[in-house]
Parts: sequence; structure tokens; C-alpha cells
Amino acid sequence: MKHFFFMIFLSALVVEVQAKTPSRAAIVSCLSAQSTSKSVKWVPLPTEKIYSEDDYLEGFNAIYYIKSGNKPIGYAERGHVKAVIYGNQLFPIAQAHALAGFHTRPTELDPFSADWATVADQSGTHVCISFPYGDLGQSGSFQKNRSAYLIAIGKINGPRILYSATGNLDALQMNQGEQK
Amino acid sequence: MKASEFEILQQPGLKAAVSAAVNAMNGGEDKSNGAYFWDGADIKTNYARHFKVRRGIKFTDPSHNIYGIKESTKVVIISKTTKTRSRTTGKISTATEEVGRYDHQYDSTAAYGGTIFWKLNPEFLKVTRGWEYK
Repeated sequence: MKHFFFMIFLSALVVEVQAKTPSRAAIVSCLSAQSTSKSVKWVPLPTEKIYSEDDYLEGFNAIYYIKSGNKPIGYAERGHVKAVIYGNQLFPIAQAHALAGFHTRPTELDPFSADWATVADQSGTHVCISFPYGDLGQSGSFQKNRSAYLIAIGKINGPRILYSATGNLDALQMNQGEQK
Repeated sequence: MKASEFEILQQPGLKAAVSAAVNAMNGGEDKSNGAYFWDGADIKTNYARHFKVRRGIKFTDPSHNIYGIKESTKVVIISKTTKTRSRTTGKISTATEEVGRYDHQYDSTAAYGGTIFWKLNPEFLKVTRGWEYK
């Protein structure tokens, strides 16, 4: 019987974990929209079907969302306020926590030019929205400059946090190589 | 580093760049045919992971395909969900309707030297209500 309760306790620990800040390797993979390290698994989310909905939640219009499992994941606007949708929650972009060691200001997120994915490693699994750095970021070598938003997924203990990062892929990957 | 007028005339690349700049300053013909974006050889060497290839590319003229790469297309369906409140029962019902679809985001417009020029696919712009330059 004791063994049974211990197993239940252990599974509760596995399901509900404290959200960790994404690791540097996970962030670089997210920005790169590919796994750049063996320890990170980058998996694209299905974007063949895209939805929009006016007055989606709290007065926000959902401009773009996809359905991953039962959860909507996407982007919404209410006037000038922009937010990331995860499940039945909205995360204002202006309140995103800038990740240490990366440039802090992402440019405007155009959800149609973004790569929607998940990144997973020992720091947890995060939704990863990676997108070009502004309009110029869609041409030539400027495409190496990317921004990203990350948010922990699954059941977590404590508040869910939206993180942001911006960087030059060549510089970041060179740095990552040096740190190995 | 500054190039002298003589050096510019000696180097075809520099000469073409100056000529294009003068053409643009004088309000001449748009040789990119309305492009907002461009790519170099990286689109071939990094084809599978190239951001534009992932979004979908199409050559509007075979002469633009200077690197001999494949077009990339994938059908994306855009739907809109609308909520309606019943006047009699007050209940909210939702209906989802397709508003359109596209299979690529970028159309080629021209190619010069090692550069391919692109603009956004009009069908993509129409269904996403996007702007030409982003």
C-alpha cells in the first residue's frame, strides 16, 4: 500500500513541475528554428490550419491561432496591446521577460512569418515562436537575425511566464560552440 | 573604402551598382519588378532550412531560378470563427468558416547576378489581409 501511495506521489511530481527558465541551448534552437544541439529537440507545430476569431478573450481579437492537441496557441491583439495565446490564457508581449544573454527587444511579431514549434530539453518543454527581425530580416543575410518568444507548456507549478530573446544566429551558434 | 570613378568603370559589379543607384535616384524603371525581399546563394546551400523555402516559394518565370532549386508549396487553410448570441435564448453559438487558402508566401519577381528578388504572393496577402512589405 505504501508503495502505491509513493508511486502516486512520484507521478504527481512528474506531472506538475516548477517551470524553469529555458536553457541557452533551447533558446538558440528556438531562434534558429531547428535543433542546434543534441540535447534539444525542436519540433514544428502543425500550421496547415490557421484560425482567427474576433472577441476571442478579454476583448482581444485572435489574429492567428493553431490547435495543438486541445490547446489553442497563437497571437492576439486588442488595439495596440499584443499578446501570445496559450490555452485559455493571454500573455501580453510587452510584459515578456527578456532572457539574460540575448538582445532584449524583439521586433513586431508577424505570426504568418513565424516558425511555431516546441523546444524540449532538461529545462523543460516550451512553445517556441521564432520570427524574422522586422521587414529587413526577410532578406539575404539579415535572415540570420531572429527574435523569439518562449512559454513553458504542460502542467507547471507557479505562474506561466512568457520569455523573449533576439539574436544573430551565426554569433549565437559560434558562442555555443565555444561554450561546449 | 572609396573607389575612384576609374575603378568603378573597371569593375562590372561596381558599375552595375552605381548604374542601378542612379536609375533609382532618377525615378527610373523598377528593375526588381516590385520586389521587397531578396536572396543570394544561401537559398541553395541552406535550402532545406531556409526560412523563405519553409514559408513557400514560387518562380513566376523560370529565368528567375538561377540556382536550379525546387519550388516549395504547402496548402494552408485559414478559417474564421464567429460567435453569435441568440436573441431568444441568450446562448452563444460558434461557427467556423474557411476564409481562404494559399500554398506559398513568396513569388519571384526578377533575378540579377546571384540575387533572386521576391515579393509576397497576392493570394497570401488577400487571405491574411497582410501588407506587401511584411
